[in-house]
Amino acid sequence: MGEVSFLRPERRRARPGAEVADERPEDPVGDLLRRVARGDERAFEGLYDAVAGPVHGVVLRVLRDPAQSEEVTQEVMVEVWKQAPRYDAARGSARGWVLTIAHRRAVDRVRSAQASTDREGKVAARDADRAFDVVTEEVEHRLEAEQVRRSLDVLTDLQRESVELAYYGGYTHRQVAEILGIPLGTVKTRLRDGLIRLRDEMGVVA
Amino acid sequence: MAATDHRTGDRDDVRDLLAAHALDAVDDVERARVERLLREDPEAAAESAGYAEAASRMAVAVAATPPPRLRASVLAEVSRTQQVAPAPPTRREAAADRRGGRGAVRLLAAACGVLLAGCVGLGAVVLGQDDGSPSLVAAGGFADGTAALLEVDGDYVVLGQGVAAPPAGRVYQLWSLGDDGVPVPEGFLEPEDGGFVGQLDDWRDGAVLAITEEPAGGSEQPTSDILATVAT
Repeated sequence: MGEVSFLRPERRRARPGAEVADERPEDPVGDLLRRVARGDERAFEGLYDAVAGPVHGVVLRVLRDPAQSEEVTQEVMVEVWKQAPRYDAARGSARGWVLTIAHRRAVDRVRSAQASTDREGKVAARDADRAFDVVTEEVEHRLEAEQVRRSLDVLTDLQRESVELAYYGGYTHRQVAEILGIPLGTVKTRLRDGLIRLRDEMGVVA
Repeated sequence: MAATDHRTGDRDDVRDLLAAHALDAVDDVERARVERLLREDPEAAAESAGYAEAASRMAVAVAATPPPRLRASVLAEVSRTQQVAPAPPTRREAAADRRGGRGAVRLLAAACGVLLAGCVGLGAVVLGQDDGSPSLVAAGGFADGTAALLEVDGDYVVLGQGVAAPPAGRVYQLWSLGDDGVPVPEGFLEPEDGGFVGQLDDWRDGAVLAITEEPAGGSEQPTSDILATVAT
Protein backbone atom coordinates (compact mmCIF):
# COMPACT_ATOMS: atom_id res chain seq x y z
CA MET A 1 0.00 0.00 0.00
CA GLY A 2 1.71 3.18 -1.11
CA GLU A 3 1.42 6.55 0.44
CA VAL A 4 -1.86 8.10 -0.49
CA SER A 5 -2.96 11.58 0.35
CA PHE A 6 -6.44 12.88 0.44
CA LEU A 7 -7.01 15.33 -2.33
CA ARG A 8 -7.82 18.69 -0.98
CA PRO A 9 -10.67 20.11 -3.00
CA GLU A 10 -11.34 23.70 -3.63
CA ARG A 11 -14.00 24.69 -1.20
CA ARG A 12 -17.14 25.28 -3.15
CA ARG A 13 -20.52 25.89 -1.65
CA ALA A 14 -23.53 24.48 -3.38
CA ARG A 15 -26.46 26.81 -3.58
CA PRO A 16 -29.64 25.68 -1.90
CA GLY A 17 -31.71 23.84 -4.47
CA ALA A 18 -28.98 24.25 -7.06
CA GLU A 19 -29.17 21.88 -9.98
CA VAL A 20 -26.18 19.70 -9.42
CA ALA A 21 -26.26 18.56 -13.02
CA ASP A 22 -25.75 22.15 -14.15
CA GLU A 23 -22.45 22.32 -12.33
CA ARG A 24 -21.14 19.43 -14.34
CA PRO A 25 -19.42 17.50 -11.62
CA GLU A 26 -17.64 14.44 -12.94
CA ASP A 27 -20.18 12.01 -11.59
CA PRO A 28 -23.62 13.48 -11.04
CA VAL A 29 -25.21 10.06 -11.18
CA GLY A 30 -24.84 9.25 -7.50
CA ASP A 31 -26.48 12.49 -6.49
CA LEU A 32 -29.34 11.97 -8.92
CA LEU A 33 -29.90 8.46 -7.67
CA ARG A 34 -29.98 9.72 -4.09
CA ARG A 35 -32.77 12.09 -5.06
CA VAL A 36 -34.55 9.41 -7.06
CA ALA A 37 -34.47 7.25 -3.92
CA ARG A 38 -36.67 9.88 -2.30
CA GLY A 39 -39.21 9.65 -5.08
CA ASP A 40 -38.00 12.69 -7.06
CA GLU A 41 -39.32 12.19 -10.60
CA ARG A 42 -37.45 15.17 -12.00
CA ALA A 43 -34.21 13.72 -10.73
CA PHE A 44 -35.21 10.49 -12.43
CA GLU A 45 -35.41 12.33 -15.74
CA GLY A 46 -31.84 13.48 -15.18
CA LEU A 47 -30.81 9.98 -14.22
CA TYR A 48 -32.46 8.60 -17.35
CA ASP A 49 -30.53 11.04 -19.52
CA ALA A 50 -27.30 10.18 -17.75
CA VAL A 51 -27.51 6.40 -17.96
CA ALA A 52 -29.96 5.46 -20.73
CA GLY A 53 -27.15 5.45 -23.33
CA PRO A 54 -24.92 2.87 -21.65
CA VAL A 55 -27.98 0.92 -20.44
CA HIS A 56 -29.50 0.67 -23.90
CA GLY A 57 -26.09 0.11 -25.45
CA VAL A 58 -25.28 -2.90 -23.33
CA VAL A 59 -28.77 -4.35 -23.63
CA LEU A 60 -28.63 -3.98 -27.41
CA ARG A 61 -25.19 -5.47 -27.50
CA VAL A 62 -26.24 -8.56 -25.58
CA LEU A 63 -29.68 -9.06 -27.15
CA ARG A 64 -28.93 -7.82 -30.68
CA ASP A 65 -32.58 -7.26 -31.34
CA PRO A 66 -33.71 -3.60 -31.36
CA ALA A 67 -37.34 -4.24 -30.45
CA GLN A 68 -36.54 -6.59 -27.57
CA SER A 69 -33.78 -4.27 -26.45
CA GLU A 70 -36.16 -1.34 -26.16
CA GLU A 71 -38.45 -3.44 -24.05
CA VAL A 72 -35.63 -4.55 -21.76
CA THR A 73 -34.17 -1.03 -21.50
CA GLN A 74 -37.59 0.15 -20.34
CA GLU A 75 -37.81 -2.67 -17.80
CA VAL A 76 -34.35 -1.82 -16.51
CA MET A 77 -35.07 1.88 -16.10
CA VAL A 78 -38.33 1.19 -14.29
CA GLU A 79 -36.51 -1.31 -12.07
CA VAL A 80 -33.91 1.36 -11.27
CA TRP A 81 -36.71 3.68 -10.19
CA LYS A 82 -38.29 0.98 -8.04
CA GLN A 83 -35.10 -0.22 -6.41
CA ALA A 84 -33.42 3.19 -5.95
CA PRO A 85 -34.20 3.32 -2.19
CA ARG A 86 -32.21 0.10 -1.79
CA TYR A 87 -29.09 1.37 -3.52
CA ASP A 88 -26.15 1.09 -1.13
CA ALA A 89 -23.32 3.45 -2.00
CA ALA A 90 -20.90 1.35 0.02
CA ARG A 91 -21.23 -1.39 -2.58
CA GLY A 92 -20.18 0.65 -5.58
CA SER A 93 -20.90 3.61 -7.80
CA ALA A 94 -24.42 4.55 -8.81
CA ARG A 95 -23.74 4.10 -12.49
CA GLY A 96 -22.14 0.73 -11.83
CA TRP A 97 -25.24 -0.31 -9.90
CA VAL A 98 -27.54 0.70 -12.74
CA LEU A 99 -25.41 -1.03 -15.36
CA THR A 100 -25.22 -4.19 -13.27
CA ILE A 101 -29.02 -4.31 -13.28
CA ALA A 102 -29.09 -3.67 -17.04
CA HIS A 103 -26.54 -6.32 -17.93
CA ARG A 104 -28.09 -8.91 -15.62
CA ARG A 105 -31.52 -8.32 -17.10
CA ALA A 106 -30.24 -8.58 -20.68
CA VAL A 107 -28.33 -11.77 -19.92
CA ASP A 108 -31.33 -13.30 -18.16
CA ARG A 109 -33.41 -12.55 -21.24
CA VAL A 110 -30.92 -14.01 -23.68
CA ARG A 111 -30.51 -17.15 -21.58
CA SER A 112 -34.20 -17.78 -21.17
CA ALA A 113 -34.58 -17.36 -24.93
CA GLN A 114 -31.74 -19.81 -25.36
CA ALA A 115 -33.33 -22.25 -22.94
CA SER A 116 -36.59 -22.18 -24.84
CA THR A 117 -34.91 -22.97 -28.17
CA ASP A 118 -32.28 -25.56 -28.85
CA ARG A 119 -29.80 -24.61 -26.20
CA GLU A 120 -26.87 -26.78 -27.17
CA GLY A 121 -27.10 -26.11 -30.88
CA LYS A 122 -27.54 -22.44 -30.26
CA VAL A 123 -24.27 -22.05 -28.42
CA ALA A 124 -22.35 -23.52 -31.29
CA ALA A 125 -24.32 -21.55 -33.85
CA ARG A 126 -23.69 -18.20 -32.26
CA ASP A 127 -20.42 -17.33 -33.83
CA ALA A 128 -17.75 -16.15 -31.45
CA ASP A 129 -16.89 -13.36 -33.85
CA ARG A 130 -20.27 -11.82 -33.32
CA ALA A 131 -19.09 -10.55 -29.99
CA PHE A 132 -16.53 -8.37 -31.67
CA ASP A 133 -18.44 -6.26 -34.13
CA VAL A 134 -19.18 -3.00 -32.46
CA VAL A 135 -22.74 -1.82 -32.59
CA THR A 136 -22.67 1.90 -32.16
CA GLU A 137 -25.70 3.90 -33.05
CA GLU A 138 -26.37 7.47 -32.13
CA VAL A 139 -24.01 7.69 -29.19
CA GLU A 140 -24.66 10.55 -26.90
CA HIS A 141 -21.66 9.80 -24.75
CA ARG A 142 -19.53 9.27 -27.81
CA LEU A 143 -16.41 10.86 -26.41
CA GLU A 144 -16.51 8.94 -23.20
CA ALA A 145 -17.39 5.76 -25.01
CA GLU A 146 -14.40 6.33 -27.27
CA GLN A 147 -12.13 6.84 -24.28
CA VAL A 148 -13.45 3.73 -22.64
CA ARG A 149 -13.03 1.72 -25.84
CA ARG A 150 -9.43 2.82 -25.94
CA SER A 151 -9.00 1.78 -22.32
CA LEU A 152 -10.13 -1.72 -23.34
CA ASP A 153 -6.89 -1.85 -25.29
CA VAL A 154 -5.06 -2.59 -22.04
CA LEU A 155 -6.41 -6.13 -22.38
CA THR A 156 -4.37 -8.73 -24.18
CA ASP A 157 -6.15 -10.21 -27.20
CA LEU A 158 -6.79 -13.42 -25.30
CA GLN A 159 -8.21 -11.63 -22.28
CA ARG A 160 -10.33 -9.45 -24.47
CA GLU A 161 -11.73 -12.39 -26.38
CA SER A 162 -12.92 -14.11 -23.19
CA VAL A 163 -14.12 -10.94 -21.47
CA GLU A 164 -16.12 -9.83 -24.52
CA LEU A 165 -17.67 -13.24 -25.09
CA ALA A 166 -18.75 -13.26 -21.46
CA TYR A 167 -19.94 -9.67 -21.14
CA TYR A 168 -21.17 -8.77 -24.61
CA GLY A 169 -21.98 -12.30 -25.70
CA GLY A 170 -23.83 -13.15 -22.50
CA TYR A 171 -22.12 -16.54 -22.30
CA THR A 172 -21.25 -18.29 -19.05
CA HIS A 173 -17.62 -19.05 -18.37
CA ARG A 174 -18.36 -22.68 -19.20
CA GLN A 175 -19.76 -21.69 -22.58
CA VAL A 176 -16.78 -19.43 -23.23
CA ALA A 177 -14.47 -22.37 -22.55
CA GLU A 178 -16.55 -24.51 -24.89
CA ILE A 179 -16.58 -21.94 -27.69
CA LEU A 180 -12.86 -21.27 -27.47
CA GLY A 181 -11.96 -24.90 -26.78
CA ILE A 182 -9.81 -24.02 -23.78
CA PRO A 183 -9.87 -25.27 -20.18
CA LEU A 184 -12.30 -23.70 -17.73
CA GLY A 185 -9.48 -22.63 -15.42
CA THR A 186 -7.89 -20.70 -18.27
CA VAL A 187 -11.12 -18.83 -18.93
CA LYS A 188 -11.49 -17.92 -15.26
CA THR A 189 -7.94 -16.63 -15.20
CA ARG A 190 -8.40 -14.56 -18.36
CA LEU A 191 -11.63 -13.05 -17.07
CA ARG A 192 -10.07 -12.20 -13.73
CA ASP A 193 -6.82 -10.82 -15.11
CA GLY A 194 -8.74 -8.86 -17.73
CA LEU A 195 -10.99 -7.20 -15.19
CA ILE A 196 -8.03 -6.46 -12.94
CA ARG A 197 -6.33 -4.68 -15.83
CA LEU A 198 -9.45 -2.71 -16.62
CA ARG A 199 -9.96 -1.86 -12.98
CA ASP A 200 -6.37 -0.71 -12.54
CA GLU A 201 -6.57 1.28 -15.74
CA MET A 202 -9.57 3.12 -14.36
CA GLY A 203 -7.79 3.96 -11.12
CA VAL A 204 -9.16 3.66 -7.64
CA VAL A 205 -11.67 6.41 -7.97
CA ALA A 206 -13.67 5.77 -11.08
CA MET B 1 -6.97 -30.30 -3.15
CA ALA B 2 -6.73 -31.97 0.25
CA ALA B 3 -9.97 -33.47 1.45
CA THR B 4 -9.27 -32.17 4.97
CA ASP B 5 -9.33 -28.67 3.64
CA HIS B 6 -12.68 -29.04 2.02
CA ARG B 7 -14.28 -25.87 3.31
CA THR B 8 -11.42 -23.57 2.50
CA GLY B 9 -11.11 -25.19 -0.88
CA ASP B 10 -14.77 -24.64 -1.57
CA ARG B 11 -14.44 -21.02 -0.61
CA ASP B 12 -11.46 -20.60 -2.90
CA ASP B 13 -13.45 -22.13 -5.74
CA VAL B 14 -16.22 -19.62 -5.22
CA ARG B 15 -13.71 -16.84 -4.92
CA ASP B 16 -12.29 -17.83 -8.29
CA LEU B 17 -15.69 -16.98 -9.74
CA LEU B 18 -15.80 -13.36 -8.59
CA ALA B 19 -14.72 -11.96 -11.96
CA ALA B 20 -17.04 -14.26 -13.91
CA HIS B 21 -19.85 -13.25 -11.56
CA ALA B 22 -19.19 -9.54 -12.20
CA LEU B 23 -19.57 -10.29 -15.91
CA ASP B 24 -22.76 -12.31 -15.25
CA ALA B 25 -20.90 -15.27 -16.73
CA VAL B 26 -22.02 -17.71 -14.05
CA ASP B 27 -25.03 -19.99 -13.83
CA ASP B 28 -27.74 -19.60 -11.20
CA VAL B 29 -26.17 -22.01 -8.72
CA GLU B 30 -22.77 -20.34 -8.99
CA ARG B 31 -24.38 -16.94 -8.67
CA ALA B 32 -26.09 -17.94 -5.43
CA ARG B 33 -22.82 -19.26 -4.03
CA VAL B 34 -20.90 -16.12 -4.96
CA GLU B 35 -23.55 -13.88 -3.51
CA ARG B 36 -23.45 -15.76 -0.26
CA LEU B 37 -19.67 -15.32 -0.15
CA LEU B 38 -20.10 -11.59 -0.79
CA ARG B 39 -22.43 -11.28 2.20
CA GLU B 40 -20.01 -13.11 4.46
CA ASP B 41 -16.62 -11.91 3.30
CA PRO B 42 -15.95 -8.16 3.13
CA GLU B 43 -12.68 -8.70 1.31
CA ALA B 44 -14.40 -10.67 -1.42
CA ALA B 45 -17.11 -8.00 -1.57
CA ALA B 46 -14.50 -5.29 -2.08
CA GLU B 47 -12.78 -7.30 -4.79
CA SER B 48 -16.11 -7.92 -6.47
CA ALA B 49 -17.00 -4.22 -6.36
CA GLY B 50 -13.83 -3.40 -8.29
CA TYR B 51 -14.70 -5.98 -10.94
CA ALA B 52 -18.23 -4.63 -11.22
CA GLU B 53 -16.92 -1.12 -11.86
CA ALA B 54 -14.57 -2.46 -14.49
CA ALA B 55 -17.38 -4.42 -16.13
CA SER B 56 -19.66 -1.40 -16.18
CA ARG B 57 -17.08 0.44 -18.26
CA MET B 58 -17.68 -2.10 -20.97
CA ALA B 59 -21.28 -0.97 -21.05
CA VAL B 60 -20.16 2.65 -21.43
CA ALA B 61 -17.96 1.60 -24.33
CA VAL B 62 -21.00 0.52 -26.34
CA ALA B 63 -23.40 3.27 -25.26
CA ALA B 64 -26.25 3.77 -27.73
CA THR B 65 -28.98 6.35 -27.34
CA PRO B 66 -32.39 4.70 -27.20
CA PRO B 67 -35.21 6.06 -29.39
CA PRO B 68 -36.71 9.27 -27.92
CA ARG B 69 -40.17 7.68 -27.56
CA LEU B 70 -38.72 5.29 -25.00
CA ARG B 71 -37.98 8.16 -22.63
CA ALA B 72 -41.60 9.29 -22.56
CA SER B 73 -42.75 5.73 -22.17
CA VAL B 74 -40.39 5.07 -19.23
CA LEU B 75 -41.30 8.32 -17.49
CA ALA B 76 -44.99 7.54 -17.86
CA GLU B 77 -44.54 4.09 -16.36
CA VAL B 78 -42.39 5.45 -13.55
CA SER B 79 -45.01 8.01 -12.55
CA ARG B 80 -47.45 5.19 -11.83
CA THR B 81 -44.92 2.81 -10.26
CA GLN B 82 -44.41 2.51 -6.52
CA GLN B 83 -40.85 2.36 -5.18
CA VAL B 84 -39.70 -0.29 -2.73
CA ALA B 85 -39.13 0.60 0.92
CA PRO B 86 -35.55 1.43 1.88
CA ALA B 87 -33.49 -1.47 3.22
CA PRO B 88 -33.34 -1.82 7.01
CA PRO B 89 -30.16 -0.39 8.59
CA THR B 90 -27.11 -2.42 7.66
CA ARG B 91 -24.81 -4.06 10.13
CA ARG B 92 -22.28 -1.40 9.32
CA GLU B 93 -24.56 1.41 10.32
CA ALA B 94 -25.62 -0.41 13.47
CA ALA B 95 -21.98 -0.93 14.36
CA ALA B 96 -21.22 2.73 13.73
CA ASP B 97 -24.06 3.59 16.05
CA ARG B 98 -22.61 1.45 18.82
CA ARG B 99 -19.14 2.79 18.33
CA GLY B 100 -20.08 6.40 17.98
CA GLY B 101 -22.61 6.22 20.79
CA ARG B 102 -24.63 8.89 19.06
CA GLY B 103 -27.63 8.49 16.85
CA ALA B 104 -26.29 11.36 14.83
CA VAL B 105 -23.41 9.25 13.63
CA ARG B 106 -25.75 6.60 12.32
CA LEU B 107 -27.77 9.20 10.48
CA LEU B 108 -24.62 10.71 9.12
CA ALA B 109 -23.40 7.34 8.00
CA ALA B 110 -26.58 6.91 6.04
CA ALA B 111 -26.46 10.42 4.61
CA CYS B 112 -22.77 10.32 3.89
CA GLY B 113 -22.85 6.86 2.41
CA VAL B 114 -24.95 8.40 -0.28
CA LEU B 115 -22.93 11.57 -0.35
CA LEU B 116 -19.76 9.61 -0.83
CA ALA B 117 -21.09 8.05 -4.00
CA GLY B 118 -21.19 11.54 -5.38
CA CYS B 119 -17.69 12.23 -4.11
CA VAL B 120 -16.06 9.30 -5.80
CA GLY B 121 -13.95 10.55 -8.62
CA LEU B 122 -14.66 14.11 -7.87
CA GLY B 123 -12.37 14.99 -5.08
CA ALA B 124 -14.54 18.04 -4.78
CA VAL B 125 -18.22 18.19 -4.17
CA VAL B 126 -19.73 20.27 -1.53
CA LEU B 127 -23.26 19.56 -0.55
CA GLY B 128 -22.88 21.53 2.65
CA GLN B 129 -25.11 24.31 3.70
CA ASP B 130 -24.74 26.38 6.81
CA ASP B 131 -27.47 24.68 8.74
CA GLY B 132 -25.95 21.49 10.04
CA SER B 133 -25.81 19.44 6.86
CA PRO B 134 -22.41 17.89 6.27
CA SER B 135 -19.87 19.58 4.06
CA LEU B 136 -17.03 17.73 2.46
CA VAL B 137 -13.58 18.81 3.58
CA ALA B 138 -11.61 16.38 1.48
CA ALA B 139 -11.93 13.05 -0.27
CA GLY B 140 -9.51 10.77 -2.00
CA GLY B 141 -8.23 7.28 -2.56
CA PHE B 142 -7.37 5.22 0.49
CA ALA B 143 -6.50 1.53 0.72
CA ASP B 144 -8.09 0.54 -2.59
CA GLY B 145 -11.20 2.55 -1.77
CA THR B 146 -12.26 6.07 -1.02
CA ALA B 147 -12.17 8.02 2.19
CA ALA B 148 -13.68 11.37 2.99
CA LEU B 149 -13.62 13.85 5.81
CA LEU B 150 -16.78 15.80 6.48
CA GLU B 151 -17.55 18.66 8.76
CA VAL B 152 -20.85 19.07 10.53
CA ASP B 153 -21.25 22.13 12.74
CA GLY B 154 -17.60 22.12 13.66
CA ASP B 155 -17.48 18.35 14.30
CA TYR B 156 -15.53 16.13 11.94
CA VAL B 157 -16.56 12.75 10.64
CA VAL B 158 -14.31 10.49 8.64
CA LEU B 159 -15.80 7.83 6.42
CA GLY B 160 -14.85 5.48 3.68
CA GLN B 161 -16.11 2.94 1.23
CA GLY B 162 -14.56 0.11 -0.72
CA VAL B 163 -11.62 0.19 1.67
CA ALA B 164 -9.43 -2.90 1.93
CA ALA B 165 -9.33 -4.29 5.47
CA PRO B 166 -5.91 -4.05 7.14
CA PRO B 167 -3.96 -7.33 7.27
CA ALA B 168 -4.89 -9.72 10.09
CA GLY B 169 -3.71 -8.43 13.46
CA ARG B 170 -3.41 -4.85 12.19
CA VAL B 171 -5.70 -1.84 12.50
CA TYR B 172 -5.98 1.56 10.90
CA GLN B 173 -5.22 4.17 13.54
CA LEU B 174 -6.08 7.85 13.35
CA TRP B 175 -3.81 10.61 14.56
CA SER B 176 -4.02 14.34 14.86
CA LEU B 177 -0.91 16.33 14.15
CA GLY B 178 -0.88 19.73 15.77
CA ASP B 179 1.49 22.61 15.14
CA ASP B 180 4.14 20.90 17.25
CA GLY B 181 3.95 17.92 14.89
CA VAL B 182 3.46 15.49 17.77
CA PRO B 183 0.96 12.78 16.76
CA VAL B 184 -1.91 12.29 19.18
CA PRO B 185 -3.88 9.02 18.90
CA GLU B 186 -7.46 9.64 17.85
CA GLY B 187 -8.97 6.18 17.66
CA PHE B 188 -9.37 3.61 14.94
CA LEU B 189 -11.05 3.03 11.63
CA GLU B 190 -12.69 -0.35 11.39
CA PRO B 191 -13.84 -1.10 7.86
CA GLU B 192 -16.84 -3.40 7.66
CA ASP B 193 -17.81 -4.48 4.19
CA GLY B 194 -15.25 -1.94 3.05
CA GLY B 195 -17.01 0.96 4.75
CA PHE B 196 -16.22 2.85 7.91
CA VAL B 197 -17.44 5.89 9.72
CA GLY B 198 -15.96 7.55 12.77
CA GLN B 199 -16.52 10.78 14.60
CA LEU B 200 -13.53 12.84 15.71
CA ASP B 201 -14.43 14.20 19.12
CA ASP B 202 -13.06 17.53 20.32
CA TRP B 203 -11.06 17.97 17.17
CA ARG B 204 -8.53 20.80 17.30
CA ASP B 205 -9.38 22.95 14.33
CA GLY B 206 -6.49 23.22 11.94
CA ALA B 207 -4.88 19.97 13.03
CA VAL B 208 -3.81 17.50 10.35
CA LEU B 209 -5.52 14.11 10.35
CA ALA B 210 -3.24 11.18 9.57
CA ILE B 211 -3.90 7.46 9.20
CA THR B 212 -1.39 4.69 9.80
CA GLU B 213 -1.55 0.94 10.04
CA GLU B 214 -0.71 -0.36 13.51
CA PRO B 215 -0.70 -3.65 15.40
CA ALA B 216 -4.11 -4.59 16.84
CA GLY B 217 -4.80 -2.53 19.95
CA GLY B 218 -3.06 0.46 18.46
CA SER B 219 0.20 2.24 19.22
CA GLU B 220 1.16 5.25 21.28
CA GLN B 221 3.27 6.55 18.43
CA PRO B 222 2.89 5.75 14.73
CA THR B 223 5.03 2.77 13.82
CA SER B 224 4.26 2.65 10.09
CA ASP B 225 4.35 5.07 7.23
CA ILE B 226 1.50 7.51 7.07
CA LEU B 227 -1.07 6.14 4.62
CA ALA B 228 -3.12 9.28 4.26
CA THR B 229 -3.20 12.82 5.56
CA VAL B 230 -5.74 15.56 5.37
CA ALA B 231 -5.59 19.11 6.68
CA THR B 232 -8.60 20.54 8.46
